Amino acid sequence: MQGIAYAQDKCINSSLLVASLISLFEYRQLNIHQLLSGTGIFEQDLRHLNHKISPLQLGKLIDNALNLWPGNDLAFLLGQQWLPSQSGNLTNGLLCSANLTEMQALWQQYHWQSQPWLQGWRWQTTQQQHLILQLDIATAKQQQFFIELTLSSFVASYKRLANQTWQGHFSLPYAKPKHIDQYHKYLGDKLSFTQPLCVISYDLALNNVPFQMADKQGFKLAELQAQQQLKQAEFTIGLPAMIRRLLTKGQHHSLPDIAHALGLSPATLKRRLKPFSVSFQQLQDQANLHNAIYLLAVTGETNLQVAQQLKFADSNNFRRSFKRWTGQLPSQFRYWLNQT
Amino acid sequence: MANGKIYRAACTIAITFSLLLSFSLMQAQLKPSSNIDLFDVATEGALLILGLSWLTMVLQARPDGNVTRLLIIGLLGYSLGCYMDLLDEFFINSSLPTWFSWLEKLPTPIGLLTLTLGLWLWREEQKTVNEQLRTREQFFRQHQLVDRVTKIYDCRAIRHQLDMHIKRDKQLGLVMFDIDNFSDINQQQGFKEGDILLTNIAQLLSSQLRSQDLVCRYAGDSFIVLLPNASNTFTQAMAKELKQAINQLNCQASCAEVHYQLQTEQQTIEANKLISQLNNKMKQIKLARPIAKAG
Repeated sequence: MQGIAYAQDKCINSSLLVASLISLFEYRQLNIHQLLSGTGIFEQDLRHLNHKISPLQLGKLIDNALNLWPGNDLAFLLGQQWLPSQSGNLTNGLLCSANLTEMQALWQQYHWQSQPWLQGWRWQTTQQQHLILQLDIATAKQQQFFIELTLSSFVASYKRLANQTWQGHFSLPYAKPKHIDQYHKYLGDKLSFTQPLCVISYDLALNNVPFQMADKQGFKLAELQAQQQLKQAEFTIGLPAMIRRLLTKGQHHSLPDIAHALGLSPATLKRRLKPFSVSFQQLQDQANLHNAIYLLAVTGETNLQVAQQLKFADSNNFRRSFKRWTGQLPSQFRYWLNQT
Repeated sequence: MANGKIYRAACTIAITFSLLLSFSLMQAQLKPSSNIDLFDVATEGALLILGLSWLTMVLQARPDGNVTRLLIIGLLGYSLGCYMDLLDEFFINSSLPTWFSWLEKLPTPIGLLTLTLGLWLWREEQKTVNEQLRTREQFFRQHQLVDRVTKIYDCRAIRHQLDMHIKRDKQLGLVMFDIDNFSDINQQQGFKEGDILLTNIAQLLSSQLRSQDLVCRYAGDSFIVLLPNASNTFTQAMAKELKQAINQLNCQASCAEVHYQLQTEQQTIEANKLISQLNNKMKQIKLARPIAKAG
């Protein structure tokens, strides 16, 4: 059984994002007390090795930070500095990766120890690789912040390691923001907004571009250490991601099913989800949409086949549900991942 | 500094007002409370509070100088007049001494006249400041659009200016500067050094431009310069010159230019389109540039 983190569990290492955020505020001479107010984090805590905070504390901290930060580039600035400013086994491993494929495989397996707000999936179509990102322990309100942070750190890391400019496409699950210039500056111009999923898409060829700092021994060592760390870790996944994973894998469908699998009562499960501001129904819809798009766009199945696999009564029923999730028809997604 | 001034002003006003109150109490008779017109007290009190709040704002916002002094004297006079008006509500008219009616009637007109003179001179002063700030704001002032780090406008302001110039001018040039490997500077020398460099570049660009040009910070380490009525050749030359100037700050910059010329009368282009052309061009330049390896 995996160690599942609930909203009040101390599962986020504060020497990573939290420390970067505070040092950025110090550089700009902004008020650290205001930044930490109401979070239950104290400046002296941050000096302790292995100090951890809970998803609730992180949520409050990010809220404060977004309110206090002058301008709209906070996530992008943090993202730029992500790889160089983070230390840890995962980061060491990422820095030593031979190419994007290796880097992703490592990230996929061990990312939760340093970025527990993310859940990632990988899809491959004939010419492109797609990375699907969903939120784990972060609330939906902060979705945009975490996506900006992740994508800008991805682009900056790629530039640093591959020594070339990033060329790929981003699908973003929200409307075009006002600060679109920051997106153009840090992420490039291949952007689609108001999409049902957050997807990074790029040519398969990029997977094999050699990285500058590739180090086979270093990579192996970092991988071993990350493995060790994962074994010892108290928490390895957040509740929203765990439920989404169970639903996406398809063996469990209903709330009682999932609650049973997690050893909780349905009422407790609902209560535990509340602080993440997501409902079971929403997670279920997300998982279904995720699977539906996979079947439509990656394996290329017909509406009827998808409806059957997702246990819909008929294809009309499936179409209606799909319309409700995305506002569009399933057929419009057949070539969604091959559009660029 | 501004707080010290406000504190001193508040003390002076408090002392003057209480002295006036005690003199009046000594020399005049209070009205019975049933005769006090509460509506008058409320309206005159409100005028006094407004006057004092204007005074505070002027003290807070304005640097010291002749114009500021005139404005302050004007507002002080006005506030004194309001205060005397308010006091007179509490005393029986016939019992008031003569100095009281003088103080009630004179300060308000004198104050308002001084204020008007101050505003007149402020207008002159503002024209001078506008000239000083030309390459930073081009007679368009909206302080919410100023970037906090470099103190020049961000991209929203240049969109506004660009839209205006597209309607008015036959041709214009846009140049984008992007500092090479800026994230390394932030990483190796800290954000403080990075911010200083950005501020220096902003200063440099705004001082090197012609008076009709405008510079803004686009995003991160990118800047855009707007050159109204510039020919293609001029835009290129200006870009080259500014790029060399930036190089003297010990950093390399890439620059991309876009030149816009009105073809036919009705055919205009959107600011966003020009900016995205500029972005594209910058991307091509960055792609073509071999990234220097630094360890």
